[in-house]
Amino acid sequence: MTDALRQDSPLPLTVLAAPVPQRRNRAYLAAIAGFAIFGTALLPFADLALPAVPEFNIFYITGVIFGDVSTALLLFAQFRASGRASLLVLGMAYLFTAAIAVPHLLYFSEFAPRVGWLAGAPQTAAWLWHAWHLAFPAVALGFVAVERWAPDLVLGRRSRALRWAVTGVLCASVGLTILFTAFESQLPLLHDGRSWRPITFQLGWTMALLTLAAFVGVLALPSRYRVMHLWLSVALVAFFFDIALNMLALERFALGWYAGRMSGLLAASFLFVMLLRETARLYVSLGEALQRSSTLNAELERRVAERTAELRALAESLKGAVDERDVLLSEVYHRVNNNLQTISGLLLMERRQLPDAEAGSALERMARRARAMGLVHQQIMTSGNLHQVDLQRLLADLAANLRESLAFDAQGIGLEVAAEPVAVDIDKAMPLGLLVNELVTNAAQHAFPGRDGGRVRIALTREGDMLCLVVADDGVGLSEVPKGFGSRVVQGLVRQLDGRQDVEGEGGVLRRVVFPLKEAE
Amino acid sequence: MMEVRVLIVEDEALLAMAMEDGLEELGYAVVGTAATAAEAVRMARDLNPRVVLMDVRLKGAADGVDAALAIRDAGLEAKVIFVTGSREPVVLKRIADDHPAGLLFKPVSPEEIGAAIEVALA
Repeated sequence: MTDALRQDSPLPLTVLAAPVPQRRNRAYLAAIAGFAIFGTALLPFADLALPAVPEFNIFYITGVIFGDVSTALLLFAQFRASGRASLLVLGMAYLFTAAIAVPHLLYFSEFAPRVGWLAGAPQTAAWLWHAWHLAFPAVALGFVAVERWAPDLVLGRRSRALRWAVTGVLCASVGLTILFTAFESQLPLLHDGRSWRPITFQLGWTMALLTLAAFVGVLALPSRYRVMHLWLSVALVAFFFDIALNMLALERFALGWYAGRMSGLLAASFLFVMLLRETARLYVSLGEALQRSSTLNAELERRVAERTAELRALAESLKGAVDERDVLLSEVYHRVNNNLQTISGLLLMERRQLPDAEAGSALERMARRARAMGLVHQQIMTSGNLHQVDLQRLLADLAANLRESLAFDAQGIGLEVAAEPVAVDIDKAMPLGLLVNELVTNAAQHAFPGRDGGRVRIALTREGDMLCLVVADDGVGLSEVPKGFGSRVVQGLVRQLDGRQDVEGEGGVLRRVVFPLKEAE
Repeated sequence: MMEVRVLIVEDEALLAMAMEDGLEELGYAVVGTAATAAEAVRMARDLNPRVVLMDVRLKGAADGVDAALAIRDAGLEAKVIFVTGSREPVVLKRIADDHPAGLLFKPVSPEEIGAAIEVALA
């Protein structure tokens, strides 16, 4: 956004209410100073008599009417756009000067009505001029008051307010015109045909002081560096010299009379020029801003695309690294698994060479343990994430394996598994697999001596953060607390699981092991 | 009852030996062990086993699935039972394409192999 578009008030933006950058407001202040110096330099020569050119007044007032009407229309347009009350007040000041300048021109020239109660009188034109030059600074002071004490005042029904304002101003000028024509004879004399009378000076000083007050008031506003404030201060300076030079001219057609009117014309047309200038400037900066924002958008889009591509590449390479790791891990598990299979095979081969049945069954147990460990690895390879083992599948596989290697079918022993699908880390799965292997082997070897068959049951249930493993048989039960290597292995595995076990030995053995699902932190 | 002739295809010698031992004990006749796919195909043709126990990973470029396909293409009667240590989806897909007579995952006991052979021959 450009300086002209930056806004520090919450009001709707108008060109006139837009702040002016410091560089330019210095230029405006310099213009004021220049005007003041030039005008002051002319003051001593104001009474220099010059040839009478009444047509000059026609030229001057026509210019003033054009400038003031244009300015009023612009101010009203800005008021309609923003609703700022101060703009309406200022617009009224300009409309009034234009409205009162029309009869002034008529009564100054030969176009004035010659008959009836509107017929011109000698003092009419002068009175109209004085009303005009009193009203303008007075209303300008009103503008200053609104800007100072109610700068954020925004009117609601703008069209209605505008209609009332215009009607009021026109009525006032018509009323004053009637006063200065029909009742001219009852008013004091302002001039004796050519030279000013004392009352002209009293009124003149009043106007000049009002104008100065308005000027100071504008410059003292907290928000003075806005287009309309800077412009109004220039206009007020010009207006001040209009009054002062006219007063010091002492009579019509003196140097001050001409110079004062020139100054008044400048005061009237200054805003018009300035407003055109600011509008043009604003237009250019808007165009630039639009162009910049579109360039900015393109740049932004380009960067987003760039960043997205970078992130995508990063994600790809991370995924590649993870895939690579998974392949390696899978390979390792595969080898461990194969090795366990080999160990188990070797143990079985060794067993066959042994004449001793006791030693043979020990080797067989070892082979089964190695296979149980292999099964856990087998499960983790297929888990998808290479970290967790599904206990439901592990126990099903383990049971199938044990059923064959312990020849359950041949002995008429049934083996049932009921496990919930629970995923655990390999640190839990490994001791659990070995534990089940151990307990089922125990049942097969000790529960059913001399029987034709029986039933072994494996159950795994989850209770919150805890898992409960039950291995039960309907065999002979426990006659004494088991000691021996097998029960030491079981105790060790339960400890590794951070679990506790309890055993029921009546009507078969029921062993329950409860352990946490996750490692304690 | 006639002895069932079995060919073991397994590149790890100890594993092959253990399987041979276990199967012999269960009453099967192990006619040989092959360590490569080419060897497996040749021995299947020469020795005419009824069952081939096929490992997937083998020495050399060709794997067990290649060997199984070659055996079938050669018009041999042998039933192929895969005994694999891998459950990678790609491998499983290739095995399934061969429509094998059986599929076992290591670790596996001799008894399990025996059961699979009975199913395949039934």
